[in-house]
Amino acid sequence: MRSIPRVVRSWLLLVGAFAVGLKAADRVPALMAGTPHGARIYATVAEAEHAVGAKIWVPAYYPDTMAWPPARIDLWPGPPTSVALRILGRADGRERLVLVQSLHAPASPPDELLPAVHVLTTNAVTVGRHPATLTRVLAPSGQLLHDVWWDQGPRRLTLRYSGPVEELILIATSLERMHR
Amino acid sequence: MLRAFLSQSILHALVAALFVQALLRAWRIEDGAWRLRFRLLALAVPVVWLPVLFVAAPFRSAPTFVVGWTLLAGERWNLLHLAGFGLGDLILLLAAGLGSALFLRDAFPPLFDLLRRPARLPDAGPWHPAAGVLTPIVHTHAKGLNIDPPRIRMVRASTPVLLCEGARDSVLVVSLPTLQRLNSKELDVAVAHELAHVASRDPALGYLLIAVRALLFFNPAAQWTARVLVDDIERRADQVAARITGNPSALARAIAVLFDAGHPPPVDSDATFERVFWRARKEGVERRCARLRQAEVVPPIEHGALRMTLAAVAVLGLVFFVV
Repeated sequence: MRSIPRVVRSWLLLVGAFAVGLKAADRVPALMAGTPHGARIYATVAEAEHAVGAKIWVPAYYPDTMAWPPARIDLWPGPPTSVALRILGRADGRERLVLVQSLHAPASPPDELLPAVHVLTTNAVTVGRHPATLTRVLAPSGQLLHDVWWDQGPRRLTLRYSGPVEELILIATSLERMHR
Repeated sequence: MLRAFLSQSILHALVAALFVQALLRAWRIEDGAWRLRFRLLALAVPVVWLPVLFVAAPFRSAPTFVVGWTLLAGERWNLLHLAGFGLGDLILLLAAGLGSALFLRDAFPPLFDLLRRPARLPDAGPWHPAAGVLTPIVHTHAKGLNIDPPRIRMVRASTPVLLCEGARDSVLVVSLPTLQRLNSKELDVAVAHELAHVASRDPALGYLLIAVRALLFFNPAAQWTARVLVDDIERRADQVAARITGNPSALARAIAVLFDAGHPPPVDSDATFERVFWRARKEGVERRCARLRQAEVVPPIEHGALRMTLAAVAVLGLVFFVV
């Protein structure tokens, strides 16, 4: 005779096995694609805007060397919700610009969207009418990059750029002016 | 929205079908009636539970839920690309193609037959002498099953026919070759099997299954569940017939004889898939006969209601976190 504890035990084992199996199947794509697991990925800005129910800010100015639209849009549920637009170089297809914006409250970008880097120098600058911080950083790959960030209303905007710092400031200023 | 619904329909049906199958094995449930209830639970997930979730729990599509709470988010498979298409969308497309093929494989032959031949086999006449042989058998088993004896319709056909039809007023349909091929014991238990279908209102359940399969034509997991559900309907009728006649081996013989007479092996000129399907059906019949010969008495299930409740909680709970 099969007792109730045995019935419940085998049920628990199966529920556990299925939960683990489903979670494992969920992890596979992010592992293979090398993307943050917790983030939700969108193909277009419109899709991401529909999901978050808010306008995603995009700069008006881009150097010709960069491709549009963004290659990928990552959404981190937060709180606060943050969105990262990843824009590639036109010639080499490498990631040139990452624009991260927290939507409902100023907050630093989560590591899942913008990996931690080694800060080399920090400068205070202005982006349009807003005081901003410009840092020169060293990525784990050994690449030299520039970050600029400032708070504008309920958002913190952070740009990480692989290219001349003058271009980064132009991109940032165009973004700031669009949403004054 | 539509893509999410289709994707979740397939994923939910797959999770439910696999979980129920695993439970049936782990708990060694052989009772056809209980197996049927578990299968119906699996089929109810894409038909009933998913629409309920879409209406009552729209927050399941919100980023916070998808990222923080889900066990599996199908959309994440679109992170991987194949020939420019998201892998998740490709898998969805392939699954829908497989589901449609499974549905059409079962739906097309009867439809083709309907167009080619008259829908009903011609009656052999209400006073056909063979009906006299069947009447006492039908009355005895109907009494044993506590149902009104169904009407008997003798039909003219070159192959054995023995089935019950009609969702409300069931009719036992029999052809002369059936009576010629079965001995008295085999006929007795075969008729008991058909009356077990009548007692359980299986023809009505059959129509319901056809409707569900048509509704979920794109869903391979639902198509598979519906197919094995039919096997369990037969298993339940087999077990009832074996119990009331005490002669499961005669039923096994009758099933084998009627299958062989009604389904001759495909000839070499037939398409390969026809031979594969015939082989699969033949093996299914052999398994069914072996089951009848091996286990004359099926052990009753213990704590059936508790098991059903646990299964429902697990299945509905698991799929809640699959988006």
